[in-house]
Amino acid sequence: MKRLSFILLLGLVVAVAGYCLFYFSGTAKHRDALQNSPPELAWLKSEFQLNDAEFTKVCQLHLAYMPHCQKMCDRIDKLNAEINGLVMQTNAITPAIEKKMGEAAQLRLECQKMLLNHFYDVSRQMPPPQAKRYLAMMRQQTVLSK
Amino acid sequence: MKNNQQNDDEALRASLREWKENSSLPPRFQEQVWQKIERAEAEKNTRWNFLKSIETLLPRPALAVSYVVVLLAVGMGAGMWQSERKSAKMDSTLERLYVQSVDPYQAPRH
Repeated sequence: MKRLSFILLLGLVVAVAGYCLFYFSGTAKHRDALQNSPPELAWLKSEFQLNDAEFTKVCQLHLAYMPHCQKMCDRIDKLNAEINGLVMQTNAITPAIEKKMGEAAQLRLECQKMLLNHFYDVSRQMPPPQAKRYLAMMRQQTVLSK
Repeated sequence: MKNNQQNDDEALRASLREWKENSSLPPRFQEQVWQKIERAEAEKNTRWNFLKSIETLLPRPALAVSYVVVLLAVGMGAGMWQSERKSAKMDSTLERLYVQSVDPYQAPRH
């Protein structure tokens, strides 16, 4: 009976150990990425198989792009607030609303151009097949496709 | 209190003595009852035999090793499946974070 209990317990312990081994080794790469700062760049490195030199260049490009992106966010927020204010003051499209909507469209275009430029810059640091995949993925998921 | 209970018991016994059952039992009633009992006992025996056979067979080295190996394989398979699911989920979260970090129209607003 003692031997039977030992075998039953051993089976369970071995099963749990096997589970932990495969689970933790399978998710190690992603857990490391989450520890990095910023984790999304570590994802970029693993997803597009960048070597260290390519990754360093991509990080530099990303960091250089961030202030422009922040400026653009501020302009979008400001313009949206202005449009909301104008829309709430009236019940028909006024020349002022029309003007602001034109500015919003212009801003969107500017943003799309800035984003596409950044994507081209990043993709130039990647091997050609990965660059193609990166551009397709980003085009599909960002303001470029909307 | 005790007298009352005795009276009730007496009354119940008298009623039971007077009670006559007129309806007849269904055909082969007794046989069916015995069959039911036999089936229940056979079921109980099967379960008991199964547990007994585990108790006698599992300590044999070949079966013990097979049992441990099968559980190890199950554990590893489950771990691999779960890690793949988790990795796919983390991939999609990180991808979304990257897109949000570069696209001003998707950046989280504070």
